[in-house]
Amino acid sequence: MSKKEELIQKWDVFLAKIEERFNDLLAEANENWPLVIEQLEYDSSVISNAWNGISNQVDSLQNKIDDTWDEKMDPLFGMMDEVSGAERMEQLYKGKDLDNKMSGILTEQRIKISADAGRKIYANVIAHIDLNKIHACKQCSAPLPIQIYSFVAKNIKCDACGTVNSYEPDSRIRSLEYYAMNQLAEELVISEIVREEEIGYEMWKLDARIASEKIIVDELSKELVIVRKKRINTYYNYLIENIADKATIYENQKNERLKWAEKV
Amino acid sequence: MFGKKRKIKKEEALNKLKNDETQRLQIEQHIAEFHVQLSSLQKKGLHNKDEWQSVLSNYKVTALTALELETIEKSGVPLTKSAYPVEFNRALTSFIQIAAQETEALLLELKNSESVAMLHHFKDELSSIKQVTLLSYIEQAKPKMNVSAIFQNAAPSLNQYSKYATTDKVESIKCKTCGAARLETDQYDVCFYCGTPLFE
Repeated sequence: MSKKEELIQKWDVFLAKIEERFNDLLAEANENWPLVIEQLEYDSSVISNAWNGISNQVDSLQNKIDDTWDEKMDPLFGMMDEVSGAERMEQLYKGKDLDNKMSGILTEQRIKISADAGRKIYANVIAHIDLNKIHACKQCSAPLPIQIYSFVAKNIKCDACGTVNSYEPDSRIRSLEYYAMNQLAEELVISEIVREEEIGYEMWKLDARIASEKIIVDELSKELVIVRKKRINTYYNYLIENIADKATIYENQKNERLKWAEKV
Repeated sequence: MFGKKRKIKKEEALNKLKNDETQRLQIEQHIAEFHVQLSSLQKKGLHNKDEWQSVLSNYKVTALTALELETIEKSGVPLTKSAYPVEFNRALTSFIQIAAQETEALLLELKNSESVAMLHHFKDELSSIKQVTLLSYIEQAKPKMNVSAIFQNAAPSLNQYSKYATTDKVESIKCKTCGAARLETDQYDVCFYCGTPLFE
């Protein structure tokens, strides 16, 4: 085996070990998530905190790839006359490919776990809240036409006496927006989110100054706009439908984001 | 006559060159030895408890007292199997002080300006070397976080917000003077009946 082959093998073994560590980490975490989700009541702060810990571990694996390349492998490949520039880039991309693969899996995992937590919280809220509860007017005690499943405070005029009553919804319902709805909306667009990350990475690898690569960059840019728009539409339409009280706000946000989506 | 003088000058120049070279080598050796000892200090702190005790006595550093250890353990900082960074810092400070004194002594011996400048530079660098070494030690001494520790750390935040959940409620604004109800949703000024401000 030549020195070059030996070095490539060393790099491959190192990357395989990083990937193995990454898979072990996620597998171990996956044993814990259902146990934590099972204990959730109305908020998922614990999920975010544990996720940050897992994500930091993955970050350090990704940093290890970069550091090992910069400090050890790249100088060694650089010193070998028989290693061409293209071959050196090929080796660099092996590390970057793994880094990108890990990021994609991590994103997918985060969205799925958050959505599972969201479903659990939603079920808890619905189980513990009386959606048929009747509130009486503070002035004349006539029943008020109040929608219990509400996300914003409202002023409601009593049909009987005309008094304005202010309704403050249950905080557990209001917080569903942050602990469940956003997560469930995001779950619907997992494939688009992952694809956007992939396109970003593919574009990073290409050099738009080279004509043949520019063609691919242009195609990817077009695809990126389509994927982004699909993600934005699906995500916001879910929120508009499920948080009707805030439909106008989400409609505006959607339109702004769609305008942004055009800019690549 | 002139030939002899020239020969003497040549010999002097040669000797000077030799001296300069010797001084340069002496300094390089001094710096290299410093780094070897520094690395050994770090390794002993990280991996060798028995040798660490002898390091402490060599550098005349007091080991952490039982009370200090207890305070660290209770503070919730990640526990490490290596020497505690605070103890390592004490030994490192002593090590750097000794290195500074030795460098100072070497400076008094040397005359070559280039060598002196090199040594001055090394002496000036000592405090930043100390800082970098301590940071690297802390990083290496940190116990490796495993998945179960991550979940354990996150556990106290379980259902924290849920404790503060509040049920829904209805309220109405009434005039403080006459008790008349607020009759329009955009009525933010005065009571329709008696004219008293509603929101003061």
